[in-house]
Amino acid sequence: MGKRTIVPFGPQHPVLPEPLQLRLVLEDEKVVEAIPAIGYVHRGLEKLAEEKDINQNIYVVERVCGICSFQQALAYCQGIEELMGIEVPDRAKYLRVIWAELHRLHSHHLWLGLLADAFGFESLFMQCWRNRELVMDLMEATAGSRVIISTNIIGGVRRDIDLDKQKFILNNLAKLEEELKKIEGSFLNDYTVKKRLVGVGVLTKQEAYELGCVGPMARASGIKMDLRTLGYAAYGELYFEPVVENDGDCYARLKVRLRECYQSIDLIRQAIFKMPEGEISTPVKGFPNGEVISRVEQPRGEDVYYIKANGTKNLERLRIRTPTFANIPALIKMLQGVDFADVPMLVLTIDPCISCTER
Amino acid sequence: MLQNLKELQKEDLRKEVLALKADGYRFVTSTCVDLGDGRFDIIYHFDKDYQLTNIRVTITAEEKVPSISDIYFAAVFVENEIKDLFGIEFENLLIDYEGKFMITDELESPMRKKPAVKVKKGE
Repeated sequence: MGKRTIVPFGPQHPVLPEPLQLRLVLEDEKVVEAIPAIGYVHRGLEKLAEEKDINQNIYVVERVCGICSFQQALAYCQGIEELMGIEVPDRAKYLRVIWAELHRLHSHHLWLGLLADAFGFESLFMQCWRNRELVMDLMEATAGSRVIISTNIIGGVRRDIDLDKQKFILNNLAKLEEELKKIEGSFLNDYTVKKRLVGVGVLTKQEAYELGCVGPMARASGIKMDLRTLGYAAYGELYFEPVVENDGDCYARLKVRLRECYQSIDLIRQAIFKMPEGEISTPVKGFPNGEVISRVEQPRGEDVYYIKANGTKNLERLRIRTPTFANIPALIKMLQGVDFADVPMLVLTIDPCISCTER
Repeated sequence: MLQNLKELQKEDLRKEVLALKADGYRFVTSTCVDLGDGRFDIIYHFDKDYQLTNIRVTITAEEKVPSISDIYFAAVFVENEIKDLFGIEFENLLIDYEGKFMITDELESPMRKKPAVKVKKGE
């Protein structure tokens, strides 16, 4: 047995912009155990949601995470709509798909950039983030802001996307697709990139399922699970297949997210072409009563909202289980036995969002 | 209106969870709800082929809940979180952070419902 050392990885660390701490027990250069500590930036949003009214809560849940703020609001609004028996107009459902997929695109591009940065490929990192700007422009043009767009309301959406803006979206998506093809080669074929990712942090299908993995992490291990197939919003009207890879390593997780970028571009195009004319929201009267679970597929995976209402303007309880929280047990298992140098890669390929985890 | 909701006594919880695991269910999460009268609901959510199954166990603040973390490892972090935020104790927790998981030493059970405090003008 080699000498044992405990290395604190984070909460401030060059490869990890967010404050997660992993206490790594090392035996020489191998990780024997990893102990997570979270809570450095816990914001108590679940408690705050009990104080605010049901409409104000949309803004509270959007602040669970900036990068997937639209999907957070979508899960919340869908839950309240189910409790109140509200039927959302068809056009609003398609608009929700467009914004949700824009969010997935910019989240995946941000992650691709961070991954490139972590394995030391600075120019690739810049390229990914430059491409992300194309999506941010779309967000700004359609909603007025770049990250937290606040277009969801209970009963539909707040803004419409007219024909001019639809054309702008299609043009930018064409550019983005072209740019994505250019950087794809560097990610998938570069010798040094492969050296850092292939065969690192393998998670078998069985392990991924038992540890409760969700999103790209589960799909990279061969689990065909994507909540969009449930058909919420307008996903039931659009054609797509969950992106699945079978190797379960860091490289597979990269491939899933790359392919999902193309899938999102395709879904937005389908939604624009199929979107019907009509109202974008329906009037809402009264307050919800009862309990419900609402789930959506966020860029990082399954997002679960448990909502308990009591017929007043305030909620009894709002519980948010974000995908990063679900993927942490798998991270802990994966870290056991890997080289210390691979830790940053492994931590990044779960796409950790500590803001989500410490809502 | 929760789907497939089963209300159980805490003594029957582990037996039911073992049966769900044998049946191929995935552990999604647990939710703790403060009922405001000294009782708490712990709701366990499981999923199989996109179908949710929920188990509700109602306990008092003094009662200990049997941990399911040895059945589903993923439950370790959820149970530690509930322990930190609501002050609920779990029996035989696989990894017990002893209230340090969320690093909230200065706050005692911050998610519990507390009686409203009325502040008079000028105070």
